Amino acid sequence: MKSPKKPEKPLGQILVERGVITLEQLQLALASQDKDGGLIGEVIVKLGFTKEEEIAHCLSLQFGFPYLPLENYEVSKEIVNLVPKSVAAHYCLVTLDKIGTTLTIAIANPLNVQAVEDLEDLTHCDIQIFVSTPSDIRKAIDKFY
Amino acid sequence: MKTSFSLQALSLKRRIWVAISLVTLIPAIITFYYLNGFVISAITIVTAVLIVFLGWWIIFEVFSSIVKVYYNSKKTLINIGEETPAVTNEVQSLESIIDILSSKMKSGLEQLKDFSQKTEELNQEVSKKVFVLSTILQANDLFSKDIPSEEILIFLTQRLKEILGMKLCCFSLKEEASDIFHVISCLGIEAQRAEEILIKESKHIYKLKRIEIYDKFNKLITYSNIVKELEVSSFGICPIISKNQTIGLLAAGSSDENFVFTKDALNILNLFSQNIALIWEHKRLSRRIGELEVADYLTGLYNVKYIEKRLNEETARSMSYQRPCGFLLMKISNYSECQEKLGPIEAEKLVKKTAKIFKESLRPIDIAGRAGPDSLCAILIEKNKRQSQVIASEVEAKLKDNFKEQLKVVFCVAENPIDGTTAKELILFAQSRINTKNTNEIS
Repeated sequence: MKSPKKPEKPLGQILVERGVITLEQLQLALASQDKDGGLIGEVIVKLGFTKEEEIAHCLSLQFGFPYLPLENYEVSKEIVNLVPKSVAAHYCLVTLDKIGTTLTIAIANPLNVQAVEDLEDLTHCDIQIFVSTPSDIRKAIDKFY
Repeated sequence: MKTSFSLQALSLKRRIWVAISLVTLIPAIITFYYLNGFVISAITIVTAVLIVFLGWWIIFEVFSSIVKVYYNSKKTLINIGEETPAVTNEVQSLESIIDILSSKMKSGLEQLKDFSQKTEELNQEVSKKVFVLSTILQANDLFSKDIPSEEILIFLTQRLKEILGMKLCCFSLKEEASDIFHVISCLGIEAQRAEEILIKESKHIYKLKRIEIYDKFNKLITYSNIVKELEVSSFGICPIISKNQTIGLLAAGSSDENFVFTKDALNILNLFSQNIALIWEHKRLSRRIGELEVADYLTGLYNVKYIEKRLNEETARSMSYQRPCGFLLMKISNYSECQEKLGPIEAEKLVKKTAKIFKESLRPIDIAGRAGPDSLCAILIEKNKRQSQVIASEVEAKLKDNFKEQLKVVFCVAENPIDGTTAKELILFAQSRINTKNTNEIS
């Protein structure tokens, strides 16, 4: 099992520390999140402070998950069907490959421990995580399911 | 039987005959004997005189009684304020008095007959009003006994038909979501037929605000078609109004050509429509209260309806935050056994205590509810299946500490998004699984 460790720092703080956004931008994003809800990464992108790819790169560097752009990526139907569409859409992830008892997935939030646990319970596999952008994953879900 | 001879018992005619006999026959016999040479003694003569006197006394008595009747009749005539006839002859006068008294008596009898008829009509009116009031009271009684509103409304329609003596009586209510009226109770006509007529004539009657009638004195053109369709001669329709809105219609029709909607009949129609409006309003409010109720009366936990609503909200929230949402269902598997062993009241106390421990075992942000007589449930905020199963184990351990072997429970955990994406799906999943589980099993 290669479950992610629970992060000690929230995503916003990591982005500030890595210089992706400023502290003021983070405060504005948090205020917007308080008002309208949503995930902090998506709020920051929506406010135009950075791009999805930069956040994905940052997470990749911080936690050591490889970044995988999903454009032109093909996945077999058999692998896709290991996880129901509702679960994939809910956690914003897509299955990519399965070798033995290791299932490779691309996920927008690699720190979502519960999502990984659910996948383990669903597939009885160890989970290998790649980071991708939410837009790429959503497009992949629409394409593969 | 003792018999006695008395002149009083004889009719006047016989008494006169007796008197004339005494007055004429005795002196004639004595004269006859005297003329034939018999010697008449002084005693005989005295006796004969006495007998003749008796005869005259009887004649006097007879006439005195007639005169007495005359005076009494005259007195009666004066007492009733009538003038006495101007005739000096008592017999003629008596005849006139009797004529007057007879005619008076005749008119008196006629008046008495009229009065008796009016009394009968009044009695009918009174009993009709008593019947109306008793119907209203009965309806209220049924209402207080929690009888379904539909049954009470059907009862009222039946009674209205009886009270007004109608051929048909029909009661319809507006569907809340639309403007269509549906027949609730129908007598004397098929409900489907009544509904068809309602729809056909909807433009006239759907927005009715006051009673409208069609009878031999009120030939409203608007209703001529309805009357024809219903095959009646008279027709009355009363709106059922609640909060200034026409929420229903009460209609009655009679095939009697002479039937007229009297003020009383209209009042009765109005009274029934007002009562129906009250019952309908109460039903609406009761339903609304039921909808607003969120707590279970016994355990104080949330009821299923509220849990389902909150679970829907939580599943939507968990979706937007890419988080799971757990749903825990717990069933007391030996509840029927507990009921039999402890009795219903003690069994309920057991459920109450279980609910308290169940709620205390959860986090404050989790939402606990009662899913059924023997089952409890909880929305486990942002908990996936694995985490929910851990919570279920903790609850089970606490229950075991408190109840030892007295209580047997089974658990089932469902998770959004794995087992369903809506509250209904998650609840159904947990319910279908829990019935197949063994005691103290968690899955």
